[in-house]
Amino acid sequence: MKLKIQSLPLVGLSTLLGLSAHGATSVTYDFESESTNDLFAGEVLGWTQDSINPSAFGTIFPLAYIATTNFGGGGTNSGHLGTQFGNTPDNSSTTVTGNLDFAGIDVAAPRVTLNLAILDNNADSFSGRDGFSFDVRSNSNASMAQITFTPTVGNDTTWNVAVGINGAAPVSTAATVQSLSGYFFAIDFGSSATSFSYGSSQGGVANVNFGNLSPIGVGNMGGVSMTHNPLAPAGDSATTIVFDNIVASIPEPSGAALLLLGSAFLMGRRRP
Amino acid sequence: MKFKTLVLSAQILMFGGLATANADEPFITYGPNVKVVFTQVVEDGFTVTKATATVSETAVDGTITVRRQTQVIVPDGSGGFTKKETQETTVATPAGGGVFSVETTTELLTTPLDGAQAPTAPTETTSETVTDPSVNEGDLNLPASTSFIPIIPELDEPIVISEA
Repeated sequence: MKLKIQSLPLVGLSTLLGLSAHGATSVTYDFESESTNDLFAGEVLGWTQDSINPSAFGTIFPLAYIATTNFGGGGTNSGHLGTQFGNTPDNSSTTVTGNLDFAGIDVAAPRVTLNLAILDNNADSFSGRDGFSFDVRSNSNASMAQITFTPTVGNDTTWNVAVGINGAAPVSTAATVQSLSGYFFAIDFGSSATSFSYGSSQGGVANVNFGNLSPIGVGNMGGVSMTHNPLAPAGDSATTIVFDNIVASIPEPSGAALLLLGSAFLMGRRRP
Repeated sequence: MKFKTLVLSAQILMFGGLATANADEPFITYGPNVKVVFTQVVEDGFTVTKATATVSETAVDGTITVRRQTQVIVPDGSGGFTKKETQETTVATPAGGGVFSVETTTELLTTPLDGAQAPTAPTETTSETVTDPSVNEGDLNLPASTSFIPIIPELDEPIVISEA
């Protein structure tokens, strides 16, 4: 029997695909089509989970599921991943991956954005804290860009933010994430840099850049993933990362580019 | 002085003498305020997963009731498994002067399982009760609760720090 969560209206994740794979300009996961308590392990459309949810006493205790969170503008369905209800017995990590299925990215400056929060009550009996990471992945599942969140030493309510590209070790930044705050994160794959910025999911705090790394040649985007990385001993943490409104987009060709293309086409037709 | 009573048949649980457990009711109701802790333990020579959940409540008169449930599924050495579940209820009743009368009832439910972990025989239950009429408050050593108050899913405005 699947655990039913009553006080948090955990609503099943739903997937909203903006456009189909070929010719797509954006893919969005807002989870509004899912139902409360839907599990990433087999119930959330477009997503997979790499570890088995633990079970006991005839009940499944999910590691990743749908619940309601208010990132601004009211509570909506969002993805939850962590150790609020259970944990992997061997303290192994858990990754959930959402399929993007962009085909043939041949224009510059794709962008991935999402709302994100870490839920942790530092007054509860679970004093341990864990790390998390968000990755944009290629069609071969390699990490192209990564944002990691590691508990800040000496501050029980913040996580340090680091960034990386192409699977390299993440580089620390000045950014931190405060527990129980709603953030908007963006990764811009530019021609001169891979840029990382964050602000408020509620719009009250403007986005600021907190990291720039080398540009990477993005020829495809296969998926996005969220990973729970246990750092505390098994069962000692009750920490959850929440994510919503994940948007991967490729800008439409600019007007100037279209004009150039159109002119070239016309010139070609006028040749005898 | 501590004394022990061993009862080999199933018995009805009493919670602080206030209510009789219904056989159809779960020993612990799992929801958003109860976390189950999964750990790896060695049982009968096998490394297996142990699930543990503990809930605690204190009555107006100071009586503390702690319910603790554990489960392990252990290979039986012949292709099947044995599920061992404990349901432990501890009632600490104030006896005055910072002293408690403590009674702990532990039921062990054992179920033989086949290779697919489906039951192959009825569950056998044994029960054991340990009573200590005089325990100092500092010596209660009650199991730590694994319950908590769920976080309200409303988020604050963040503080952001830009690149230097």
